[in-house]
Amino acid sequence: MSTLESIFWHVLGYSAMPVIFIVGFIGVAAGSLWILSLGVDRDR
Amino acid sequence: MKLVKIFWQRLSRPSKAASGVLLGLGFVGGILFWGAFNTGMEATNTEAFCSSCHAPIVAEIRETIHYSNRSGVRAICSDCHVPHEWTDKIIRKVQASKELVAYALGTIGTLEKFHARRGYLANREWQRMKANDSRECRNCHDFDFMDFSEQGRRSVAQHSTALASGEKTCVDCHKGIAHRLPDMRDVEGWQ
Ligand code: HEC
Ligand code: HEC
Ligand code: HEC
Ligand code: HEC
Repeated sequence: MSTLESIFWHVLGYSAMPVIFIVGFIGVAAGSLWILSLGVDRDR
Repeated sequence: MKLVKIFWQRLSRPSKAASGVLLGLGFVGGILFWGAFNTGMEATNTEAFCSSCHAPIVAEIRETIHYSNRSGVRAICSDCHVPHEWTDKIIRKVQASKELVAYALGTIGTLEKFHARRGYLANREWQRMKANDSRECRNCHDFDFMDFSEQGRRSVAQHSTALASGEKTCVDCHKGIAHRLPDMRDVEGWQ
């Protein structure tokens, strides 16, 4: 693998990590909000 | 300072019921997410997964020492090809997106194409292992625990010299340890 390709994959790999965490966070947040919305007082 | 105080007062006095539910959801959701993520990482490390695209290689490996041996310990594809360290593993998995593209293009779609491209791919793998001092081999084979009195003479002659000094790494000498070799004509030091 050329140095350039190696750098390319390292940049992409390291940027994937925060993306994984953020997507996880958004996913859990969305799921939680949906569950919370089930119990909402609809007459309010 | 004042801001910090206000901030802390906020944090310390949320609505009791709601925060309990929220924290619980976050906790359970976090576990579920991480569990699913890890399951995905594991599933893409199995031999069954690799074999969906690398069938010819999986067939070959059955005749080698890393498939069947007197100790019954196996090395599977990911033991040698996917780093164990978390960050390196993620990088390798992201890099596998290239394999997806290559698969779509069919670079090794047929046996003929695979044999034609094999030398190139093997070379990339040797380079990678040269660069990381055969780290994946060393996950299982630790030089520090090699008992030279148990090894054959040919082994000791090489291991106690070129390997011990760090001049050579495992794949410099042990090429084709798990696969049939590609065309070796252009490989340095090969006759
Ligand atoms: C979607 C199909 C697919 C799957 C699944 C797959 N591969 Fe590949 N892999 C390919 C293709 C196609 C290539 C050839 C890339 C090229 O032509 O440049 C390749 C190349 C490789 C190489 C050559 C080295 C390199 O840098 O290109 C290795 C090593 C490898 N794969 C290991 C694995 C392992 C280990 C697994 C299982 C964890 C796996 N592959 C799963 C399609 C796949
Ligand atoms: C998952 C652990 C594991 C990994 C990773 C691994 N090996 Fe092995 N290796 C073994 C086991 C187990 C044996 C067989 C031991 C026995 O019963 O003799 C073995 C045997 C060998 C042998 C002896 C062959 C013989 O004919 O006696 C060589 C050489 C070897 N491995 C080289 C390598 C190299 C080079 C790598 C890296 C590319 C590697 N191994 C990666 C576990 C591993
Ligand atoms: C300088 C070349 C060289 C290097 C570097 C090297 N080996 Fe070897 N190794 C040999 C030779 C030669 C043999 C003997 C093969 C034979 O007799 O068929 C051998 C044999 C072995 C055996 C079988 C031992 C026995 O006698 O039963 C194992 C296991 C092994 N090597 C693992 C490794 C691992 C793991 C590494 C990297 C940490 C490594 N070797 C690095 C040359 C090397
Ligand atoms: C004991 C370690 C080891 C195991 C297990 C292993 N490989 Fe390899 N692999 C290597 C090494 C070392 C190379 C470099 C070429 C060579 O020496 O044969 C390589 C090369 C490759 C290549 C590049 C093309 C070629 O044939 O050289 C592919 C693709 C590949 N491996 C896929 C796999 C798949 C799929 C599996 C699981 C069925 C697997 N490997 C299991 C060590 C291993």
